[in-house]
Amino acid sequence: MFGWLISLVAVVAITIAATGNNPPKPATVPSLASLAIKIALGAVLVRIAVRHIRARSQPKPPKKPPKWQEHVDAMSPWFAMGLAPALQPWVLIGTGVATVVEAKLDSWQSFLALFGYCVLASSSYLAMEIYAVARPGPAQELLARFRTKIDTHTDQAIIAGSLIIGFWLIANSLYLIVSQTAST
Amino acid sequence: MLVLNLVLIGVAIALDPLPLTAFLVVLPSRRGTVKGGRSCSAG
Repeated sequence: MFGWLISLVAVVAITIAATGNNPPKPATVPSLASLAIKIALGAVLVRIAVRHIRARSQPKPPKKPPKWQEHVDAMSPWFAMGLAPALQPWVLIGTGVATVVEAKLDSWQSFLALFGYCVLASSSYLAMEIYAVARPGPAQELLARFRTKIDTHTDQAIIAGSLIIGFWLIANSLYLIVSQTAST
Repeated sequence: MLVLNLVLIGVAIALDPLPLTAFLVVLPSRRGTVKGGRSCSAG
């Protein structure tokens, strides 16, 4: 959880530092470049969805669990912390970065929006962690049920999520590029 | 628009099934809550 949060907050902080808390003005090269990156990432997400749709029609060979899962009980907390950034959904984090580029931290509302983004992106993990600490017994049962549900619906979730976010990014960024270039 | 984008992306990251599955493997494991980021253990 800490590894996850640290890497997420670090990405947001580095992005804000890189822009010098001075987001690119509309219709400038950096602004158009960030929109082009969002379109490219949207296309990657749509491609991921299409690949999963195609794979669904073919019989799946049984998947071998990753090596780290075999030794999960012996895994050290430090290894778990290091594992978190490796398991981040980096295409989605990248779209977050391309969006955060537009943020200017000059009011409590903008700080709240970025803080809310980090908390929202970690909310499912925070909720599970808090529940597992507060009620360990029932949490084990719930987590097992939750995992079974995710295992049987992974493809649907990836397809739906990738298509929604992918098309949204492409449409929204294209609209912004057209409206910015038309107004200059 | 910025907030709407951040909400959409934040929800998508929170519900991405692949890292969630990994977290659901780590959390119920021995001392899983410590590995998950707290200094007390579920068992």
